[in-house]
Amino acid sequence: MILVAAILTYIRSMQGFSPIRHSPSLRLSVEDQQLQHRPIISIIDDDESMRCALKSFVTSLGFKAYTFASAEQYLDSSHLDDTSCLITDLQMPGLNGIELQQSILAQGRHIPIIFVTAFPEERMRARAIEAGALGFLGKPFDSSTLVELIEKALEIGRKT
Amino acid sequence: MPTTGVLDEQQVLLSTLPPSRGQTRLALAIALILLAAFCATLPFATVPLRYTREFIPAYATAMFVISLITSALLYVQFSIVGSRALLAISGGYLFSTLMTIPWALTFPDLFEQTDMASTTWGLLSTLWHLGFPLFLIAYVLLKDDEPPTRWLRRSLPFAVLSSAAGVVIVDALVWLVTTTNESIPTTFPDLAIFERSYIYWNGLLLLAFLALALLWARRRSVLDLWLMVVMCGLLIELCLIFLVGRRYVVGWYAARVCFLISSTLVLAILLSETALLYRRLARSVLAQSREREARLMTMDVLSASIAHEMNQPLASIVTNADAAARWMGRPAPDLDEVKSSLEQIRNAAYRARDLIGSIRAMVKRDGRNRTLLDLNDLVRQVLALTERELQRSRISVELRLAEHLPPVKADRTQLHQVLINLITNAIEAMRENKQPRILRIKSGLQEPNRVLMSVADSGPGIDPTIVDRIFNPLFTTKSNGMGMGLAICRSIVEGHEGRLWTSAGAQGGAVFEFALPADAAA
Repeated sequence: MILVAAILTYIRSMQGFSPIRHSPSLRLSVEDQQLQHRPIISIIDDDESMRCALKSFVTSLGFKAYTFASAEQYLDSSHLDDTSCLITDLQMPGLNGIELQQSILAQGRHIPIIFVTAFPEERMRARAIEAGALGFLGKPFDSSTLVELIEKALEIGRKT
Repeated sequence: MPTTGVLDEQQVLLSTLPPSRGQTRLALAIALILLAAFCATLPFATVPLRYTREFIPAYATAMFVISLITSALLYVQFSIVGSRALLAISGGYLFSTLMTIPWALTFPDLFEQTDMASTTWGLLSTLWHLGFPLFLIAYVLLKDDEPPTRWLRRSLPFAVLSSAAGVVIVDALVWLVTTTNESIPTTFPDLAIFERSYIYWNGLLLLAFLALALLWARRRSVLDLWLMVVMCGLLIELCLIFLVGRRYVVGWYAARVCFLISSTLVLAILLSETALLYRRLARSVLAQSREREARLMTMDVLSASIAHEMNQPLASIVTNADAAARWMGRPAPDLDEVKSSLEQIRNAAYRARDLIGSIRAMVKRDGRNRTLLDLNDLVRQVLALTERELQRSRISVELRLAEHLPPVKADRTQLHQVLINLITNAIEAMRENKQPRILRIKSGLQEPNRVLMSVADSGPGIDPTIVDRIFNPLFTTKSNGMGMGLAICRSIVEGHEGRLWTSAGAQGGAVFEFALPADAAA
């Protein structure tokens, strides 16, 4: 019975992954089976505590999370190709969030980006959104908003 | 009682700015050159020259343009200060401007007119040369007799109105002169006689000379200086015309050219002076806004960094709590993850606590940096630092420092901060002041054994309904910045076992006072 449901969910996930709609009773076994197919969320934040919190939260949603302490680290990583959604801090030593966005766009990639910042400035928000950012959240943020944005990112990923 | 200089209208207006030595020399040189030209012309003054029909229209056009620009320049000065003297001199120039048109049009040989027109021209000439010195005399007599308060509250509409009135008056004069000239020949039978009449010329010369002498006696400003040059030009013109007594000779042409040159020079110099003043003003305004920006920036940057620092652990707490809730809500709760999230929450909360502690430590510090300080010295240093700001805000300082003030043991930078803050607040409080802006700083000894420092402003004072809250760290009456200044001041003073309080000033305004224990060893 569980196996059948798991296969059904697997098929569904092939058509379109939606972690929030997963039946809770199936979650674990599905994850065990589809470790390779879970969408990847990359997290960049220079603040370790925030990085861990985000990773834990995203993992609890059923995604695979990779964390990076800086934009440069992420750009050097192999996850630019498989990231379904990028959650990044804005103010960071080295490249800041906006510069990271420019650099990703310059490579011709269209990774959905969600900015989170402890000091949300309207000017920065406008710049980020104009360059195609999915969202711009001020810390501390409401996690349900983050979930909605991640879903939106995955939807975009499915369409392309 | 030392008082810092006050920058007022005197330094930015042509009508009040005292001339520099260089300007005086230049004016004198120009006057001498005019005089030399006059002397050089004298031997050939009566040599006849060809009648040039274009000369008078060209001369009149040039005079029209020059007088009009000078008049506009002076009206602008008038609209700034609303001074009656400036109104008189701008009116004089406007009068001169408007007179040039009918004067040129009625010039006898221009349109082959009759003697009747010649009389009209002669009358207009007289009116012009009579009117301008009269306006100038009015200027001189009025300028030292300005009422202490602004004579006119809104002078710009008045400037427009008075120039309109000027047009009407000159029109009326011209109309009178041209329509009633049938009756005039009885008084002025012949233009030739009229032009050679000694009484007439002596009258005109005397008037011009009187104007020049009055200007000389009451000369104070750049404007006075250059008006004197104009009057020299006018006098030379009148003398030459009088001496040669006929038209189209060297002297006659030279007279016109002489006045034209002096008027042009004066206009050019007034314009360059105005441009210079504008540059000075623009620089000072820019410097002021930069300084203010810098000060607001530090508060802004401070508040931004505190917000950033505080939001970071708060965000971590919220996100970890959400994650923990999700791990808990699973069919098989992942307690390890929950535990890890809770630990993260605790760590983030500690971080926030440390952050608050460090902000407090910024203000409240141990006594390691404390040295023996003379508060009087400190006040003088802070005043020297804020001197430019005080001057720009046109605030005078009354300093009453007690002699032989015992030293206090205190952190110099912190007390420096307190004084800067109190003085800056006082400057801010007086920014909108109509009444005199006075910053009163007093030091003294308070029983038992405490040094008292008082900073009082002549601003509007503190609203009694908010006086209890002004020391609250998050209270602010400023649209920008954090308003933490007074809270920081109080906490610094209290950190030194002192006290800081505020009261209403005896002559209005607010008084901030603080008392610190005098050093026992001293």
